[in-house]
Amino acid sequence: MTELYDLIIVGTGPAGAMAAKVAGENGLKAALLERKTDIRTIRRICTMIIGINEESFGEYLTYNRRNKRFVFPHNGFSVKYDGPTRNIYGFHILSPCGNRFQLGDVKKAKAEGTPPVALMIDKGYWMQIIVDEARSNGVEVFTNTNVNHIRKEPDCVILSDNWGNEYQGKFVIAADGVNSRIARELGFNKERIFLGTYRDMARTYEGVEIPDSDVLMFCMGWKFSISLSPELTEGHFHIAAASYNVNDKLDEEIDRFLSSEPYATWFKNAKEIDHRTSCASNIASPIPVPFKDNVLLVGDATWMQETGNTAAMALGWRAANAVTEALIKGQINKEGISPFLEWYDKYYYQPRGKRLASSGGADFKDYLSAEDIDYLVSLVPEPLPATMNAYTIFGTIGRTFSGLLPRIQDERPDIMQKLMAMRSFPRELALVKRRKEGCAIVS
Amino acid sequence: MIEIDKEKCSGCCGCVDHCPVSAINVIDDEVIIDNDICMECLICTKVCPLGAPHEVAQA
Repeated sequence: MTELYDLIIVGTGPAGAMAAKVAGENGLKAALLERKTDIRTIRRICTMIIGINEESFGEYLTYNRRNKRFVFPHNGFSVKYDGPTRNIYGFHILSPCGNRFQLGDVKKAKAEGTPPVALMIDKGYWMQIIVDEARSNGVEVFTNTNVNHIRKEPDCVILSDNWGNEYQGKFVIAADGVNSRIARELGFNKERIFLGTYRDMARTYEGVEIPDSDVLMFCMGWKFSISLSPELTEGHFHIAAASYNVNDKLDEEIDRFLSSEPYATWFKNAKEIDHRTSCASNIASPIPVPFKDNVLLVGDATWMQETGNTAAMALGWRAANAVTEALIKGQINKEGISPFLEWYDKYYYQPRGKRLASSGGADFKDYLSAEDIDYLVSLVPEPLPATMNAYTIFGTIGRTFSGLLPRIQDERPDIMQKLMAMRSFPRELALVKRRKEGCAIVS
Repeated sequence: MIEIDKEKCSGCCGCVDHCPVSAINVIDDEVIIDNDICMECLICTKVCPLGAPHEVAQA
């Protein structure tokens, strides 16, 4: 008969790795299940950029360079990271001709020694060291293990894998990512609003020359969203293309981008290296209460697309500590882990999650041409304060352009008309479009 | 039956996640379809951003 674990964690991303580390430190009888064998290599697309010194889901992550630890002061813990870092000074939106809407003045920040708003890190290395720490603290780590089914028995939760093995736990922490099979099997997706299937692919290049490139760059005005993000090594960049239509040929649009100026010049000496990464993500509204039958969901498994590394780690940490408390109290139930649910509701669902359920609207590319985007971005030539918080970014863009509407009406009434049409585009139609163009994971 | 082109596959596991019958697994860091379980719904061929899964004629 298989042994009964106090806690089984599924997934070695930030949320799962963190939960496992805590489980080990707290002395739980715990197992960590992961489908990959090589945790060190990240194959699902990720910029590996982590925002610091800025609010994110109630936390103010910072990096202690002296001791090489990431610090989570609000939650009250720190995690070792002694791998390489690269400073990131902001987020820029590029129009097709190369105009920039800058959230962060890179030149000024570097010249004045202003602290960066984010760090690029070696995420795979970080996950590896956290999992190694969990293992050395007694957590049994099972790699090459695909968790395909979950079921509840009277005294435990049972996970079964592709090899025919079963794992029994009093509690399970599901950190199996944005397309969580556990969330799916537990029926959560039936209650969520489907917002689209997001497909993304990235290539890595060396020998790229981009001015002021210590930022995350988002390129608008192309058929699909294109982003450029710096790699740890100077001159190395990821270029990614993403869309919500499963019929879109992302690869071809990257080629088109690379052959257009000014980008062709940036890449004139560049060569593709490494392996490609990609993702196909089921985008659904956040889960209001991420708990069922002694299964706690954490990280992207609870959310719309991504919570981000900081938020995912904090949630994994919270969940494993709440499970520990529940086991000590002898309350193997929802009430036992209530501190986790209270934290999630206060810092995740209420301030952010609820609102994300109403996302969805007109697609820019259906209304604005490349030249329209060039014009709009040219209206804000001066850099705005640096930020990597996605919600601050959206808020700033919205406020900035709302303030510019009178000028746009005056100079380009044609564009103003398009913006108004976009604003009044019924959200329901946008959701219908996403459903048609996507491939929803419901049950 | 469905085959995954190893040259194109990045290992992102989008298809693994989307498969309604859990026919696709990561085995020794390779994405492998179990054609005994596969129902040929073709969802994997639709969601992959790299076009790695594709239909092949039964041998």
